[in-house]
Amino acid sequence: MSKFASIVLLLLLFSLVRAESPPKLDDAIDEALIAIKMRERDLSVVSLLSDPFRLSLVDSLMDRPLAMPRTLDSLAVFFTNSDKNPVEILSYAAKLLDLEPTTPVVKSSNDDYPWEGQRDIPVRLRNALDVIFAAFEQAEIDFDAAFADVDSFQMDTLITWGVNYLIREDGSDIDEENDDATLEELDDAELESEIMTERLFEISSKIDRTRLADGALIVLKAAVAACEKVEGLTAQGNSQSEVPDTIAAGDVVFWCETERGPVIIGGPGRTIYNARFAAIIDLGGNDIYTVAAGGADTTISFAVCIDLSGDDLYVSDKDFAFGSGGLGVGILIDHKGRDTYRSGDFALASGSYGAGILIDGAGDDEYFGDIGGQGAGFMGFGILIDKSGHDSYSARLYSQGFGYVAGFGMLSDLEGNDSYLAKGAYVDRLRYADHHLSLSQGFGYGNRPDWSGGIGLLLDAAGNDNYSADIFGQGASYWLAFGGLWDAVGNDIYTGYQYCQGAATHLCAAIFYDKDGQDSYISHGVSQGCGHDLAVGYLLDCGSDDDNYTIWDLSQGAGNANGVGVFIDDGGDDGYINKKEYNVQGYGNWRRDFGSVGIMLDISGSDHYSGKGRDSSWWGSGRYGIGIDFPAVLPEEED
Amino acid sequence: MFNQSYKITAIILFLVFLSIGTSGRLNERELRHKFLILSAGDIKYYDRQESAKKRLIKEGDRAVRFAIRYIGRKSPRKARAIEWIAVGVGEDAVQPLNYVLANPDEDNAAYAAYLLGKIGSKSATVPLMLAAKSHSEKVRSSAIGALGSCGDTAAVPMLIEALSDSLPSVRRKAAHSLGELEDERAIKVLMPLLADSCGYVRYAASYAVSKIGGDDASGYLIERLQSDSLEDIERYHIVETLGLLKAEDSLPILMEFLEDPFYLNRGFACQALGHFRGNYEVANALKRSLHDASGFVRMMADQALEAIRNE
Repeated sequence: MSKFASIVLLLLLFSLVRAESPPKLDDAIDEALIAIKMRERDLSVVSLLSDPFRLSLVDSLMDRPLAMPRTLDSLAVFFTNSDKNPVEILSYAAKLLDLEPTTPVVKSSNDDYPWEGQRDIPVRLRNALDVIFAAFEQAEIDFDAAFADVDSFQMDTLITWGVNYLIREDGSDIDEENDDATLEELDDAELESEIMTERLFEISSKIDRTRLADGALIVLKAAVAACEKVEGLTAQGNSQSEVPDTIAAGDVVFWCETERGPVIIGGPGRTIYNARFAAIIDLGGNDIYTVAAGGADTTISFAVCIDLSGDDLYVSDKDFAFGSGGLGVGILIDHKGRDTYRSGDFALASGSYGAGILIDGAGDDEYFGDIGGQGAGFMGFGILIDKSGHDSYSARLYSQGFGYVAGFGMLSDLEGNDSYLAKGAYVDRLRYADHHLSLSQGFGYGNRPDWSGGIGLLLDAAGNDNYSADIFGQGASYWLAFGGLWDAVGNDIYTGYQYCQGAATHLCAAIFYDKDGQDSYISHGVSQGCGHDLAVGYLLDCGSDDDNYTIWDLSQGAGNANGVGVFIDDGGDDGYINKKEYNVQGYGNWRRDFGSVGIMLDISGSDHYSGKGRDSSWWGSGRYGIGIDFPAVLPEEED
Repeated sequence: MFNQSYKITAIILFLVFLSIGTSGRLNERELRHKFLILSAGDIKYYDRQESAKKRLIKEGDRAVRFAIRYIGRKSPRKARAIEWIAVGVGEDAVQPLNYVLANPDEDNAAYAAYLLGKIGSKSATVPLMLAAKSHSEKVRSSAIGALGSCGDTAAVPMLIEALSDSLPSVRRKAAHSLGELEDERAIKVLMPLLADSCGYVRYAASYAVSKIGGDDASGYLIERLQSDSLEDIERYHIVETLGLLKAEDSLPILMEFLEDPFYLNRGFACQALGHFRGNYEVANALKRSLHDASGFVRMMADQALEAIRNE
């Protein structure tokens, strides 16, 4: 009898435990889908359009949008793994661009470099320069092959229109001098821009981008190898006094001119660098870089800078200044120190028809940029990796993990309480008189209507972080592109205004994924898991902490104009505040004779809603909108 | 003398009327300016767009012929302006758009087909039927979607054929167009699409069947509902379609579903019953469902009662 009683008791306990456990994420999604008579496959927004720059990752995520969290998580775990060699990271990024780069092997060169006979320069330093220059030779072969089908006139177009295309794309919006232009003048300019754009991308389609990646990989491999060679070196040799001020000042161990550009070795004291160099190795000191460091452009195609320590100041208004490459490859590795980076456009890990990579090791750093930096890629790669410290990132447009056509842009911050700001460049005249475009912070962007966009990722692995954008940002995308923001740990604050926080606009896919922490989200509209016009926007917040979400309208699982919006909060006692009720929290409208899908799920916790959601209840919006705040039991168990 | 002055007066009057008549028409430069205001992507022009649109529409086919020069331009705002003008002008826009429909550029042709659908003129049926045979998926899809708005049942056989197209978007548009044309020949062929692999096709088929209606529709659906080969998702769509049809003969089976052990069947039955206004038995059953154990059923019952109140 007592046995029977204990079995009954056990069964009761088991059923209680089972009843109180929240549903699994996939089960919750299935519940929502079946409530609107849909299956996972029905969320596909795959496009009939095609062009030479469409990425398979974008196609795949548009076809299977619910795979986005897993996909972004696996990418982020890989890219934020501190054990990964930068070469592995770039190689993986190339594969995401559907390229198949070869494994880079730096072959020793037979050339006699000017530093060969300099016995007072330590061998390790000379070897490091040897490796870098040997890689330059190989990279040049790769780049020649990459542009083999591009004639000199076309190359001229790439140089004058290509590398800085993003600030010329639409003169009426970008160039403030056009404020007083007539509509007719703007129309003429727009037509001219369309013609040039078509020419530019047709030329770009002739480029062998795999060879571009090969060139970038070999230079990166050499830079990493050189860095290992010189690590731990301190004062060696005497400073040279005969360096012209236009080149450098302060503690200079060695410098020379080469046919690939000047080469310089800075000592452990302060060095001020006043030129664009092919190679810089700085052994320490609080240095100042006034032009470029690891900055490659049409004058110097390949550039590497290794700075071993010191609180350095990088300041320049030149394009492709620091760890950036325009029609080339630029690598900047700064090992230690509290560094300050101040740049103009296309700097700080900006790659345009090439690659720009900036790796900052230890220290609390400050990054100030303008347009197209801090991990921005167009026809190439822009990768910024900051390994530790409390960092501050400020930019204005197309930055902080921005991928344009055939581009991969990534900002990966591994540790610290960080701050990200991206706004203030150009007024979004199409919509507002007082809001600015951001197009940043994990943003994938394409050239509508003809050219598919790239991949933009902002990854933050730890810390309590603060993110601020205005229009278009924070795990968002536009036109056949993919944007993702991933934040692993910490109590974070996200502020945007429109098209933010898991918002996808016009045939694309975007996800915002915060894995843990007590987070606060503020936006105005078309945000927080919103898909507009055959696009899929997804916001997923996991962890058991309590989060707060504030919006005005068309957000929190909203599908508009045949888009798909998914919003999921997986745990915690959350708060939802919204101004308008009808088009939020699981809303899908009817356009072009069919529906848009909106799904909002709160998987567990005791939650507060000001909109149409209610704790432990279901609510609907038309035929395609569904919201579920899950009670402790799944519907099957209710029966 | 009198005759001469009469003649002069008449000539002067004629010239005055002529000048009044022509001064009302916009010249090329003005047409362009109005069009650019209408398509401007700058908030400072937005309050002038409505008057520009009205003026251009007043211009009739001249404005359309001018605007279609901009088809192919990249700006979505220009495409939207063309649409406003074409739809506003209506029948007179059909002929210029037919020329664009024959354009070898598939993007332009597809856009013209879309615009013709928006206008919804019978005179566009034949060109659209030709376009619906295009090898271009974009043109085909766009033309199939447009045919439903033209109100010409000559397109029905072609649309029925398109229901088996490999592209879900073509199947969806074909189903929707058939619903718009309300031709009972389509009922039987639309039924299998309630089990289509694409959700939007299923929804379009449901819409079309309910729009066409007819004596046989609910019978077919009820018969199908009793089939052993029915998948769950098809059942839910059939149940909803029965509700949309408001077919009295489906009431017993829908009421029976309210007692089904499976919560989804109960919930979708509530949804369907929300279309039966004025039936107290239905309303009372739905009120009972407000206390169902399932949150989903409670939500559906609540929405159904709301629909009954507002219908």
